[in-house]
Amino acid sequence: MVSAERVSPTRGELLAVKRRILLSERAHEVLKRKLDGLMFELMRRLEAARTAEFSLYEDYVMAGQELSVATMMVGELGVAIAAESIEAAPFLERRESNVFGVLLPAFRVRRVARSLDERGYSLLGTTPVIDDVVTAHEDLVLSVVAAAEAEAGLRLLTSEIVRTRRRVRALEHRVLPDLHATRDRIELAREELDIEEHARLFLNKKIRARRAEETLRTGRREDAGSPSAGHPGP
Amino acid sequence: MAATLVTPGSYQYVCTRLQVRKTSLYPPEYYARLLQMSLPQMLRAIGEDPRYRREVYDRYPTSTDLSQFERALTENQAREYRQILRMAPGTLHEMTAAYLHRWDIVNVMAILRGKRHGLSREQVARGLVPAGDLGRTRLQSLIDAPDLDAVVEGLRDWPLYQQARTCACVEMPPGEFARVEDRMYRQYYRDLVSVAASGVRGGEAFARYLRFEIDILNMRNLFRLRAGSWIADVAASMIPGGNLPVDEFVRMAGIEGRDAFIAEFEKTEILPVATRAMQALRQDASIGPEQVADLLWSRWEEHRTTVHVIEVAVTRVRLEALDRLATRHPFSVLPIISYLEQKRIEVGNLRACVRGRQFGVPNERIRRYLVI
Repeated sequence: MVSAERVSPTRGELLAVKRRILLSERAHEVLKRKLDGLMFELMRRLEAARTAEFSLYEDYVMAGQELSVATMMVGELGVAIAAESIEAAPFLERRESNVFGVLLPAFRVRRVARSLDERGYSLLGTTPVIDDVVTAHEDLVLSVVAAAEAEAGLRLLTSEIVRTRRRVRALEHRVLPDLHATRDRIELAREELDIEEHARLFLNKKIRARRAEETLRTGRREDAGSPSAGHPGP
Repeated sequence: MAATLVTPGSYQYVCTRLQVRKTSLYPPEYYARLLQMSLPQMLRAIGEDPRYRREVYDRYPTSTDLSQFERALTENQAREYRQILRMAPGTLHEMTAAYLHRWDIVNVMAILRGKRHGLSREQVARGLVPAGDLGRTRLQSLIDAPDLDAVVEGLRDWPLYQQARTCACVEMPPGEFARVEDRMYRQYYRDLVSVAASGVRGGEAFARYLRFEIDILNMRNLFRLRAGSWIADVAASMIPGGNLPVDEFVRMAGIEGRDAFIAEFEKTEILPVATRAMQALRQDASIGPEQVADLLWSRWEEHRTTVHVIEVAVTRVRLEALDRLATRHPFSVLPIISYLEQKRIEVGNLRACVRGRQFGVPNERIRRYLVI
């Protein structure tokens, strides 16, 4: 931050401050637009996040219910045997999408929702209650991933909004007013200098003119008092 | 067992003993009383029963860990089954052993999977229910085997060794374990039907019961295949040996029209049983086959599995039928099978009560999952 008191009121400094003002105004404009964009994106994602969270809650309740029914019907052992039959674990791939310079996570899951032949447990050795509990938990995993993606996106967007807003406000309320004050001060100082210079030059001119007049007057007087004065030479 | 003198008297002795033992199983009123209790009261009530004391109360006297409790129940069931297996003479023994092979498949597959996924010995041992022909010592020796090949080699004299052999391959395609297990179950049912039809007393009636059970399983799995978006290889997931040939089910898998579905469904003879089950479930005698067929069609149309509560009700009706058969053939294999099934159901009911209470399921809903 440029302190207005410490700046020497030179023309070069004035030009530098004016350049800085221009840059700050441009940055302010860009940041304000970014803030608007981020807000718009946040509002857009908010609804999706709310839906994802609601769906997560529903799927969680459903998975719990299915698990309780499965545990009641085939016991913990039956559920554990089916769970241990799973041959391939789900795969989560993390990607990033750039939204106004913010890298938001985008997850892609594979091997979660599977058909009956890919689940790894035997059809004849299990009961339909296992299918239902597996389907419910597959849905739950997908919902967890979707909710995590939505929530992580919201968190990152919110923190970026807070940071951007702080910068916009700093520009609005601190940087730009300071720069304007510095510019005004320099301009004022320079104006005063100009007036001083103008007055000095004017005074100088007047003195010089007076001196010149005095010199002229003295010269005339000397010419009039000399012996040769009024007598033409031989 | 081969050394035991098999006489008509020994048949009568075992059957009578099991008929008497069946009377010691919990009556329906007991479950109503159990459902009025809190969870610790339930555990205490079951643990204090002399039949369950050894596994539940003596082993875990202060534990409220329901996993341990559940394990105690299955251990009790396993002990009971093995006791009956020791008790059964001659062809009854063969029949009972063939029937209990189901548990061997569960145990062997758990060991094979555990070895494949590198689970610890304790973890594998915790998931076993030694209720079949393979005893605890034999199963422990399989668990202690260094690798998958050694486990398979250890099963050389096991009736389903041929099916288990493919698990020893180094490069197994994904889903192969499930296919091996399916093949084992198909062979299990094939063996069971052939043993039942081999001349054992009451075997013919049991074979009829089994054929109907196969039909129900096939129908249930057809619903599952449709719900699980996997109808490419229906025949491989069906059990042969039922009243309806596998081709019928394969044809059924492609049906999309209501009338065609109901017409095919009526051929399976499942509809009258399902109707009786629904009537008992809703306590409404006016429910007709059309309504049940409509309900099943709606599940079929929506690509969903059958309703669990209806399955439980169907099991209830089938058990009643098995009970009637056992009463009609008192000195045959049927009282043994009936007792084994009743015991399985009792353990399942106790588990459902306890787990239902644990999860805070309302009593009315728990009752619907009980086979009483």
